[in-house]
Amino acid sequence: MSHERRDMPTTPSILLEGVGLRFVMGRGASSVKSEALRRFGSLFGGASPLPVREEVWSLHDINLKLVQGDRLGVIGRNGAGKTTLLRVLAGIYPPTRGRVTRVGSIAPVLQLGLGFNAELTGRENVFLAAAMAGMPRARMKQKLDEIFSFAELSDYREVPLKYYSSGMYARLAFAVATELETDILLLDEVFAVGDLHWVARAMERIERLIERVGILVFVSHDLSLVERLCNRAIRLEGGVLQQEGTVEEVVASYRESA
Amino acid sequence: MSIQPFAIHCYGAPACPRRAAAPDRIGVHEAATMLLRERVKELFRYRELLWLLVRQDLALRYRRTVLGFFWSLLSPVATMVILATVFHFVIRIDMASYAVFLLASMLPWSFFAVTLTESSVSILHKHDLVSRQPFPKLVLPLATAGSNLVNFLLSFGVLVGLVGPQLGVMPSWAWVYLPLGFVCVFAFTVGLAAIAAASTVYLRDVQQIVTVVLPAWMYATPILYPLELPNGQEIVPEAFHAYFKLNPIYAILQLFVRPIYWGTAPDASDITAALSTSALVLVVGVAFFWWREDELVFHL
Repeated sequence: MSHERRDMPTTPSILLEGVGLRFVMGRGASSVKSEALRRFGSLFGGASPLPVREEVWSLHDINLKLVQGDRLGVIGRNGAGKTTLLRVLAGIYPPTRGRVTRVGSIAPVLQLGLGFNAELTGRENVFLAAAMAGMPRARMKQKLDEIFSFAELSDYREVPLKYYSSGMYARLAFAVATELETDILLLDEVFAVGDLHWVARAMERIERLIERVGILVFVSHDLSLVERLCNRAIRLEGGVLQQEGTVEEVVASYRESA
Repeated sequence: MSIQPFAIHCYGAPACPRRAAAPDRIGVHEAATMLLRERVKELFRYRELLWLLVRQDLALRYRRTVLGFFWSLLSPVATMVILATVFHFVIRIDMASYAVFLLASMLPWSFFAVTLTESSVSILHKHDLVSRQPFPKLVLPLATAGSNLVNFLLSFGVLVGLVGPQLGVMPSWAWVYLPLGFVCVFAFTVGLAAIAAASTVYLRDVQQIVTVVLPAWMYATPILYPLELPNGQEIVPEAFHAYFKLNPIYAILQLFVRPIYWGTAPDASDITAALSTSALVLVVGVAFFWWREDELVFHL
């Protein structure tokens, strides 16, 4: 566009400044009774007026800058805050502290086949997944043939998903997720399962997808996959950013510590 | 490569750079106090998702049923036959064309009641989606309201247009007020549905409260009985009419009952009341929803 301003960003980027995320336990399913007891319990001689709700900080003071071309691997033990970090990046969790600045469109793939409806046909589900990711229907229409032929499901377009085998379901979900157009891709443990022939094709497709996106953030326990797909890495432990560096450095020290 | 213009999304404290500091095409927002305009834009960007969810809901509702769409006609007809029988022959409401009156008042009420019941769990039941995909969550209650609206319009058209004449409905110029009725009842319903959908996430009791309150509300509203008959006969003593008119949905239903049953234009006071109530409820409901939207995910 000709009237673009000079400060208009032209490449995707992510900036995390002092990001912290707090969960308050027990603020899930609340009921009138528990709320009333919590607030007014003391009036009736309850021991503790306001039972302290347990707080958990899942992320502490995370500072991170990602620019075009960064392929960041996020490693760490279970419960280290890896998926939570992805959700903060995606904008699903607003940070309790700090600030997230994101330039560019984002596609979080936190679960394959998310939002799929078993009663709908394969084709209908593809459009649903695209719409959920904010991708225009017209754009998805052009990719429909490609998706079904890659998933080897061309004959099953109009078949409701409930008649798919779990392998077919997984192939379709994978094919859709890897066809999304985005500047920033967030991948959570989405790797290919299936026979050898499929795994090889799926890996090739993931690699092609990663080439297309500006920034990748990849969460995985599979260290060799992280080494293969990423060029940078961070290690999280208990919600704290323990180490940041090239993928070789971080993976090597994580292997030592394990 | 990018499918959308580069957007800056900025959230959290301290305050992010204000919109004014950024170029026009770039949206800057803080999630906690995301600007109204950004919320509307975001909703518009996801209009295809809304449309798809509405279609999916409509398609799935009757898929694999033998009678399909006819169920959406049959169930109100069945309800009406039952009510007309009970109130006409058993309780003996002495009223000409009682079935027509029911048609005019029950169809919009059912739309409201069914939508409110369904949408109160619309966020809760999609918790996996809400916690894994960023999208404007208002599309969930909106999709429920949208699919019910389509159903309502179709069954209204068929029942009033085709079945109505058999029952003595006379087409009248007063029907020009009906579109206003649809707009008002939709806005009113969406406003309350948004409140119900968000508050159920915080307080699971809301879905039960809704199912208790709705029948009580129905009997408190002149839906099964009119306040007065077109011939001037009072069903409810005049002294109590003022109380009935405090009911926010009363005026909205009048936009249907007057044209269809009485064949006259609604009172000007009812039109004003219906418009202002539904606009207020819509604005308050959507504002409440947006106020809580970003925090909902922590309570699922």
